[in-house]
Amino acid sequence: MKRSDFDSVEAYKIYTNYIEQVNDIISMLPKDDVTDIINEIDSHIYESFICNKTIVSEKERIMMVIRNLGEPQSYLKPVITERQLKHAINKYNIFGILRGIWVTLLTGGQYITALIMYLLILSCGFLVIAKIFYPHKTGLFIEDGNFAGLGFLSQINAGAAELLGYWLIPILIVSCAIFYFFMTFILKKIVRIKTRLNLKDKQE
Amino acid sequence: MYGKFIDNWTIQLKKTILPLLILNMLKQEQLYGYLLIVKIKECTGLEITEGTIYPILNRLKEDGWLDCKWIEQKTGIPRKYYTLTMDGEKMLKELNSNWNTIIKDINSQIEI
Repeated sequence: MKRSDFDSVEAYKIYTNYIEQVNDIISMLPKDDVTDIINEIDSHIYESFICNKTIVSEKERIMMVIRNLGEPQSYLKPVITERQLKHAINKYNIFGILRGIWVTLLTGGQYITALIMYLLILSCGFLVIAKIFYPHKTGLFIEDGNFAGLGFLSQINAGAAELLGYWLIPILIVSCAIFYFFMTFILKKIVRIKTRLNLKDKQE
Repeated sequence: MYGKFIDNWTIQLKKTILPLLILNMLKQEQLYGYLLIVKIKECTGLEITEGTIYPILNRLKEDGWLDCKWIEQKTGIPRKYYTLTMDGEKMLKELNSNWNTIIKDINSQIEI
């Protein structure tokens, strides 16, 4: 809405404060999403403001409109979470994905498998660093021809031997990269067409 | 004594079926957020916080049941119109069928 849509300076100030509040809350989202959300709320406020002209005072009217709309934190939270996760997946941003999944878990209890998988990928990153600083304690260990452990071992038996040496680093990096892109690709598909697939499965 | 319980129960029930209501309304015509809220109030008498509707619309859109488009208005403030997608129509058909079954089952128990 523009300044010219209001006669009352106070009403315009209340309106701009609310929009600024919304803007602050969604500022971490991509620009297109911010514009879309702001435009939708702006459109809603305008329609509601115009349709309630029985309330003569513009200040009272805009306050009623905003009160009916509610606190932006409460109704925008699920929207922000979903859009953040979607954006992070599209950008292959692992920290964004983890944050999105974490918030989604807290609010909806979904994607727990994906969270575990991504944490596993991050732990592989830790192993790469551990291999550099603790080469003898990190790797793929065998003992008497049997698998003894993969990862960082604080105590290693005398009979255990590490198999891969420094090859562990490129093997971990390549396998993590492949796994990470595969996981994110799958998650992208799941988020986009999760319910559509359910419907198709049912129809089949 | 039980008036408050019934009031709360009625509100909760209406909120639960909001997505079903929204999808059915959008099956009849494309609507923008504010008009949808007005129609819900007219139809159900449900005084929902207007902000409640937007996360639901967003969810339904992300799930692929709804589509939306901005339409410019003479006022200079465009409206975001929501419509049902083809998948949304198919899903709604199934949803309505499930709803009717539930109502029928519950009514059969109430009659006892």
